[in-house]
Order: sequence, then C-alpha cells, then structure tokens
Amino acid sequence: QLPPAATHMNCCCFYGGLCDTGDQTPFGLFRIALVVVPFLYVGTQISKSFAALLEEHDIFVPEDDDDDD
Amino acid sequence: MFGSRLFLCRLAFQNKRIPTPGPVWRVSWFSSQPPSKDVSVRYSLGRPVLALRLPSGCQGRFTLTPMLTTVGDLLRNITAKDPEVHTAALLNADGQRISSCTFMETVLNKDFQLVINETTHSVQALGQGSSHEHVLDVEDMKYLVQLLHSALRLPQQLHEQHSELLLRQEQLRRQLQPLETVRVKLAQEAESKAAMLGWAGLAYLSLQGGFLGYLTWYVFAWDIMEPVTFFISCTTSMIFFAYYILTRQDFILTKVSDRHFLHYFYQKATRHNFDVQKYNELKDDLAKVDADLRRLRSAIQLQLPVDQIRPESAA
Repeated sequence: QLPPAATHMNCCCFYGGLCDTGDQTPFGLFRIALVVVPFLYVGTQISKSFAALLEEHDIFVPEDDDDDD
Repeated sequence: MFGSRLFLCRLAFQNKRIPTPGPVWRVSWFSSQPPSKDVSVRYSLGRPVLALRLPSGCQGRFTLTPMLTTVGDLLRNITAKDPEVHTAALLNADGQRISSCTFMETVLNKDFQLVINETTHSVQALGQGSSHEHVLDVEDMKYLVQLLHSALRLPQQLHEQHSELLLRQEQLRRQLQPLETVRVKLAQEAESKAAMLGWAGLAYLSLQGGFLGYLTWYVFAWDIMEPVTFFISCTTSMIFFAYYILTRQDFILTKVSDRHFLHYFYQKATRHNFDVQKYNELKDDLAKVDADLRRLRSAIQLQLPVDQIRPESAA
C-alpha cells in the first residue's frame, strides 16, 4: 500500500503542486445526448429504407424462419 | 653550527700566452651557512617551488601553496616521493625544529634549513615582494588587463546591460501586442472548427450504431449482421492505418485534434494576412531577452556571477 502522497503521481506538477483540472464542457452530457439521440434515430430510419430498398429490388430477402422446436 | 666558513674556489685561467704566476686562489667569507646548491626555492608560474636533490639522486620539485601547505604536508610529500628518505625535518635559521602544523607562508619568509637523512641544507628565503617572474608573453599582459577592466567596469556594465535589455523587452512587447490579439481571435475560431469535427465524429458513430442496431433487431438477425459489423470494424482499422501512412502520426485523439486546429489556424491566417513566421520570431526574441534578464537578475541582486546559458526545456 503506497502512502497517500505517492498515489496519483500524475496529478502533481514539477515542484509538487497540483495540476489544473482538465477542460470541462458545460452541460456536457446534455449536449452529447442532444447529438447522439437524433442521429441514432436517423440511423434507424436510414436502415429501414435501406432494408426496404433491398427487398424491393430483390437483392437480399431474409427468410422468415420459424422457431426451432 | 654557525661561524665563518672559508670557501675556497679556484679560478682557472684560459690558456693564453700571458705568463701567469700560476692558479689564482680566491677566498671569500660567508657569515652564515652558504646556500646549498642542492636545495632552492624559486618562483615558477606564480607559486614558490622547492627544488631538491634527493638522496636517491633524482631531482624533486615540490610546488607550495604558501597559505595552504603546512610543513607536515611538505615533509610527507618528500618522504613519499623518495623511499630512501628516512628522516626529514625543517629547522629555522637558529636550528630549532619547525612544527608540522606551521604554514609554509611563515617558513618561507625567513631563511630555513632542511634536514634530510642527517644532511642539512640551508635555503635562502624568497623576497617579500612579488615573484619577479618575467611576464612570459603578451597573453599574460592581456589577461591582467582584462581582469582589471572587468573588476573596475563590471557593476556598471551589468546595470547598463540590464537597462538595455529592459528597453528591448519593452520594444518587443509593444510589437507583439497587436499580433497577439489577432492570434487569439484566429485561435478561437480554429479551435471551434476543430471541436466541431469531434462532434461530427460522435454524430457519425451514433448514426452507424442506430443503423446496425435496427437492422440487427428489426430486419435481419444477428447471424446475418455479424459479418457486416466485422467488415465495418475491418474498414475502420484500415482507415486508422491509412491515417498513419499519410501523416506519420499515431491516431491519438488529442493529437488529431491539435493537427486539425493547426490546419484551420494556418488557413485562417493566410486569409487574414497574419504573418505566423514574424510572430514566431518575435516570440523567440522575447523569450531570449527574458532569459537574459533572468540571468542578470541573479548577478545584480545577489552579487553572483552571471549564469551560463541553459537550453530551456519545455515546461
């Protein structure tokens, strides 16, 4: 077990002072959610039309296999 | 032990055709022990050097630092140099033994005697004044003149340099100030553009995730989608490797972001006619002037010699 001062050595500056905390984006998680959720939805819509396209042109049709007994 | 001593020496005339009555004897008297030919103290390169003919026959030269060498040190050196020396002692002119902890400085001021293996050598003292060594060449003169010059001029010179450097620092700061404001503005714009790329990457990843997720759960099964996902991962790793090939840099997100920042910065700089090279030069000059001022500070305020130039490591 290292003494308390020896853990987190990367947090110390050259002369032993503490480093600054990193960049903090305000409302970070909210902004991430704001970007991820719509684009996720857009992705699903694209894949729906993509699958419809495949089926229409008969490129790849998934067979509806029944459940195994 | 003292007393007059007859010193006879024979002068031999050259063979000339002058009738001479025979060899002429010359008699001289010394009131003290005659200076021994075997031992002498002379100045050499600014230090007194004791030249001594040792019992084993070789000539020993012992350089003395008068204020640091003691009698004991000298005697030790003599015995160490020649194993045939059994006893060595220093006596003053009256025949009293000088103690080992006496500094040579006091000994050299007067005549003294050196006893080695029961042979007594008497040594004449050096003069009180300077060494009277011949100045060897112009280099010594120049060195002396330089010492004098720096001793007399140095404080004033340091102050002059200090004020000169302050002037230069002020000038550079004034030149840099307008450039600094432009640079800050351009940097902010470039930074926001580079940050936007990051968000765009996140958007693309979520789009891809939604696409594949919908196909897996709602359209096809995982057994069909799995190879698709594998090949997408394959393509991604190819892209990262191609990035390395093109830029010779590892795909580390912080470094990629820095790279984009620089790219956009230079783009904006050319558009706004901001001379990056001139800005960099001014910054370098200012850094040098600051370093010189820092070195001078210790010399002026703390009376220390000026620091050597050190290559500054990046903080």
